[in-house]
Order: sequence, then C-alpha cells, then structure tokens
Amino acid sequence: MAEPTAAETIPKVIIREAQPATPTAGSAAELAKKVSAKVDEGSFREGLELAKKTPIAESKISQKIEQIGIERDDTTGAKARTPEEQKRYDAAKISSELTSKFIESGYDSLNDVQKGFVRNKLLTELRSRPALAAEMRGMSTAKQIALAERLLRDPSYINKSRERLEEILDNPNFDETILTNAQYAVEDAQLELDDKSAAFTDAETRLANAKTQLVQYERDATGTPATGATRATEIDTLRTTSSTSSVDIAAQNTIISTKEQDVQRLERELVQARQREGIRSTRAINTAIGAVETKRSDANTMMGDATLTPEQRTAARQDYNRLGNELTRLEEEKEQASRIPRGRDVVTIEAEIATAKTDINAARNEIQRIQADLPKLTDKEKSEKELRDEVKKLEEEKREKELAKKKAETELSRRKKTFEDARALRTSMEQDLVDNLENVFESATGEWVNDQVKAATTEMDEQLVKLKETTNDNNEKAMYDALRERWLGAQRTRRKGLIGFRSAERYRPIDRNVTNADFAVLIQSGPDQLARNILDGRTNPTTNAPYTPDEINNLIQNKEFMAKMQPEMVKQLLTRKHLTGGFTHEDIFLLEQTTWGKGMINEAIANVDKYKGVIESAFGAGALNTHGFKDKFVQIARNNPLWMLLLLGIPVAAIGALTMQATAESIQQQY
Amino acid sequence: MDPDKAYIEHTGIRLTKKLAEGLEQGVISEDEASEIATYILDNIDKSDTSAKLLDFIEDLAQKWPIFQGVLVLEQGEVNKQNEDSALQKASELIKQNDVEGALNVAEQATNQKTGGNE
Repeated sequence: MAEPTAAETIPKVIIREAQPATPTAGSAAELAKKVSAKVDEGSFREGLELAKKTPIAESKISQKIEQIGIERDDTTGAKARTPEEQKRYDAAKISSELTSKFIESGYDSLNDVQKGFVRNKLLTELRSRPALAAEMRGMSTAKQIALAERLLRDPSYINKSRERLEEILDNPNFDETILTNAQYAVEDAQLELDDKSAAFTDAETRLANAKTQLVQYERDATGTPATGATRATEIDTLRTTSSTSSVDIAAQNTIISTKEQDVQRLERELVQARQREGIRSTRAINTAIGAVETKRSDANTMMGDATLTPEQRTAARQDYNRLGNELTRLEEEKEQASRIPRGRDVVTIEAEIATAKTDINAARNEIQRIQADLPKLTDKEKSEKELRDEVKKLEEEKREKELAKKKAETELSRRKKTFEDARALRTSMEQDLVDNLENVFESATGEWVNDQVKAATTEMDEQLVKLKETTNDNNEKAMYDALRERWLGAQRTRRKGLIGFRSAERYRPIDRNVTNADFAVLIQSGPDQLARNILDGRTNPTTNAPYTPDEINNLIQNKEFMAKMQPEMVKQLLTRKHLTGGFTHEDIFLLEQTTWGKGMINEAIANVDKYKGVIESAFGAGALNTHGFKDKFVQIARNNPLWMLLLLGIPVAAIGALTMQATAESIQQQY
Repeated sequence: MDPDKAYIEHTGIRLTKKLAEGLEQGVISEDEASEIATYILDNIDKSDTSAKLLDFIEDLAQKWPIFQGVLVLEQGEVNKQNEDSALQKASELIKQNDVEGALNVAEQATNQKTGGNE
C-alpha cells in the first residue's frame, strides 16, 4: 500500500462551525406567562416591557462561543480545544451566561459573587472617566456600591448592556475560510517540498554514486593514479601499451613473415624428404643390382649348360633377359637416387613447420591483442570522460534541485507563517470575542456616560444657539459663536462598537488643554481677561475683520455686555471643565474666593428656588420649604463641588444624573 | 370624549393580554411580541382622543390581525360611549328647549357610529 501523502497526513480539522442549536422550546410560553402575570399585577406596561425585551437566544450565544477552538477530533468531530482555547471558551461562556442573566432577569437575580463582579466592572469604568474619578475617590465603598447598583437597575443601562451583547451576537461569525485556505496552502507547499526534496535526494544519490565510480579514476597532483583508482591504473597501462603497439605489431609481423618463410622452406624440404622416403637408397639399389647380376650370371650359365633340357635352357634365357631388364631399371633407379640430395627426415621437418605455424599464430594473436587493447583505452577514456561529464551534470542538477527545494522550503515557511498569522489572527479574534463578552458592562457603562456627556455638550451648544437667535447685538452674536467653538478640540475618530467590527464616528472632543488654560485665566485674571482671550482673533461681524485690541477693550468695559456675557461664558467654561476632568475642592474654594464667583453664588442662593425640581428630587418634596434648608444647602454646596456647580449655573444634564444622584445620596446622609 | 388614563390603562391591559395569549398559543413569535410591545408602548400614550386611540388600535390590528377582536370591542365601547354622551347632551339641550341643537347632536352621533361624515 502506498505511503499516505502529506495532504492525507495533515489533518483537515478546520470545518465550518456547526449550525446553531434550535432555540429553547417553550421560551415563548414562558414569556407569555410572565407578561400575563404582570398584567394581573395591574401593570400592563411592565408586561409589555418584558415582551419588548426578547430573551437573549441561547442558540446565538452557543453558536458564538462554540466557534472558539480550531482543531476537531478526527473521529468525533467535536472541538478539540487546546488548554488556551478551553480557557477562552470557559471565560466566554461564563461572561455570556452572566450577561444574559443580568439582562433577562435583572441585577437582583445575580448571586453575590456575580453582583460584586458586575459592580466592579461598572465602577472601574466610571473611575476611568476624569469627570467622575474625583467624585468616586471621595465616595465610601458603600456609596460606590449604592451608586453602581442604582445604575445596574436602571432600564436604560440594562438596555445598553443588551445592545452591547446583541451587537456581539449579531456580528458575523469568524471567517473559517481564511484559516482553511491558509492550511490548504501549507499542505500544498508541503507536498511541493516533498516532491522537491525527493528530486533533490535522487540527484544527490546519483551524484554520490557517480562520484564513487569516479574515485576509480582519481589521480594525485602529479597525475599518478590514487590508491584504489583501478580504472586510472588500467588507463595508464593501456596508454603505455598503446604507445608501443605499432612497434610491437611490426615485430610480430616480422616474426610472422620470418616464420612464414621458414614454413615455406620447410614445406619444400618436406616435399624432398617425402620424395626421399619414396626412393631406395643407392646402397640398396647396388645390393639389388649385385643380386640381379648374380641371378643373371646363373641364368647365363644355365643357358650354356647342355645338361639341361631345352626347355630349361629357354627358361634360363628368359630369366637372363628379364634380369637384364631388371638390371637396367635398377641402374636407372641408381642414377635417379644419385641425383636426390641428402636431407632431414619428414618428421623433423613437420615438427619444425608446426612450431613455425604456432609462432605465426602467436604473433597474430599478439597483434590482435595489441589491436584489441587500443579501443579498450578509448572506451575507458570515454567512460572516464562520460563519468566526469555525468558528475558535472549531476552537480548542476543537484544545485538546481537544491535551489528548487530551498524555494519550496521558503514557500512552505512563508505559507506556514501565513497560517500561523491566520491562527494568531483567529486567536486574537477569539480573544476579542472573549474580551467583548467580558467587557459588556464596561462598554455599556462607557456608552451610558458618553451619552450623558454628549447630551450635556449638545444642550450647552443649543443654549448658545438659542441665545444667539435672541439677540440683535453683533458683538453678543460673535461672543456666542466664539463660545461655541472655543473649547472644541481637533476632529477625531471614535471607534464605536466591538473590537474588529467597529464603525468610525467623527467628532470634536472638548479640548482639555484649552479648557484648563482658560480656567486658570478665569481664576487668576478674572472673567474680563478670559473674555478678552476669547474674542481675540475672532471676526467682528460689524467690520468683518478681526477684533482690534481697542474694540475688545471697549467691549470688556461695556458693563451691559459683560453683565450678560460673563455668566454664560463662565457657565460654558465650567461645564467643559466639569466634563473633562471635574473640579477639586481647591478649585471650588478658589472660585468662591473671587469677587465674581461670590457674586454668582450669592445670586444663585438668592434664587435657589429655580433649582427646586433638582433639589427636591434629591432631598424630597418640600425640602426647600424646610426651616433652615437654604443655609444648610449653601454649606452642603460649599463642601460638595457638584452642588456648587449647579449654583454656578451648570445645567443638570451636564453635571449628570448619575453624579448628581450619587451626590444627593451622600448629601442626604449628611443632611 | 378624550380617553382618560383609566381608559388607556383598560385598553392597554386588553392589548397586552391578547399579546400574551398570542405568544402562548404560538400565533406570534418572541421577536414579533417584542415589536408589538415596542409599538404599543411607543404609541398608546400619544392617543389623547378616543378617535386617536381607535386609530392606534386600527393600525395595530392592521399590522397584527390578532388584535382585530380588541378593535371590534373597542369600537363598540367607544360608539356606546359616544351614544350615551350624545344622548345625555341631547337631553340637556331639549331641557333648554334647543331642539335643533339636540337633533344636530343626535345626527352627529349617528354619523360617528356609521362612520359617515356626509
């Protein structure tokens, strides 16, 4: 069975989140019961409020937090969270459960630990606000708890919390494709690298093999074959052989030629020897002649022997004649034999011929051997050259494969980095989700306070717009315009909403530096100087040119103008001061010490009835008519900056219902 | 006749009970209930006349038909109140020998009941 590919072995764990669970059955019926109960208690409005607040869908929460974690168990498909992911998941679960319980069932449904947790969240956010921090520092723990609990029971705050939680839940889920694509890209790169690595290893192996073969051809610096370089030695031997081969071949050819001549000579000698072997020797012929002559002499004798019969004598004559012929033939033979030279015998000659032929064959073989070695050298040299070329080619190939492998490694590394970035981004998104869920109370508090500040600044601005509309005096109009713009800081962008899904809101915050600088001028140099500074550089609507110093001085000396402008100018400045950092007791003390400050406070005390609504909401109906209340109130106001701000004309909206109520509580205890 | 607080309260209770009933029977969803509740809370106190209160209930019934029954009931009650009021006013005018005025009041009451203004 084939080895699994990288793609198969890298687990594909990133899969789309499970579909949301179905909503809790019977929750509508449960809500209907609660609504009916409220109607039966006589408050249809409370019943409608309950219906208005749809329960936070558990499925939405579950779907949201179940996203946490990347990998899944290959077998079960369940999330296989790392300890870090589990920690985030647990934190998100606890936070979302707590928040939805708070929103649906209210602060009082929480247990003591949960209550303490949400109070601390809220108070921490309040303390981070400069305008509230000073006041918070002056409050006892019990008062801070009371303050937090009042806000936590406030429907507008609960709605803010609901909005924040729903915003989190309504935000799009994590884009799983980012991580999945990044992981697939890593897998592809890994496969590519595997291929390139295999190709490189193959080239490397082939090069190593070639180099091992090349060792047999290696030589030292002097060209002498290295130890074990058998092929080089063979080549050298062949080269030596090759260089003497022509001489050797010539020598062999000479041998062949000589031997062939020998053979020819010997063969001739052999013919003679063979002839000699076919003819009797002279001695034998002489012996035969002597015998024939003896017989012929006997026949001659018998021919003359009369004792013999005629027949015998005839026969003797015939013998005589025949022996005469025989004698003639023998004489001829003797003549022929006398002409054949004397020599060696056939066997000897044949042995010599055989030896000569063997020598010829040996010489021919030697020539063949020498000639056969010549291509061997060529072949071996060719093999060496081919091997060296192969090594070069393989070295080049190895370099190319190595480069391709390194490129694949770089690509894999880059993709892994991208994947890690995607994981880090995912981790960050998960952490953002957890943070968002954990920060619902801070976020709701922050927005609640921001709404207060926004409402206050809007109210202040609207007051100036109305004042401008009610006057026909150009200088007053110019002053109101100047006051509207005096403390506006550079435009900024505020991020609203959740981390990762925030929208931008352009706004101009209150410029704290200008505010503090103007407050310092107000305390140290008085309202005239502040008015002078405010008008400086502004356009005089009458002349359509910047106010001249003389024009400003004239306005400052104009009692009617200043009597009308000063309270508004001071009120506007003090409001900004309150909204950007609040007042210390020292600030209030300094304010009281100024002539104009005393005047404003005295006038406010004299007309304290106009604050009746606020005072009675804090101290109870009819408080103002209580004997000695005004005197006590002045004393309270001196000791409490926020009530003093009220006396100095700062609107209740600016002071803030939250802070004012908190102050009222603390004052009521003193009262 | 202008609806007094008690009458608005009475109508509110009817509407809320109908809402709870719809929720319980599954005729409306929790999201719809939220929308309806918001609509009622935002508008019921704006009805400073009986006609406006009826207009509000008509709108409500048009948006969510489960309130049709409440609309019919309310229309009946308002008509009855108008008739009673017209009758009382006409009686007073007759006592003052203002027969023509009494007839006008009666005619107006009839027109209101039938919904015609011709």
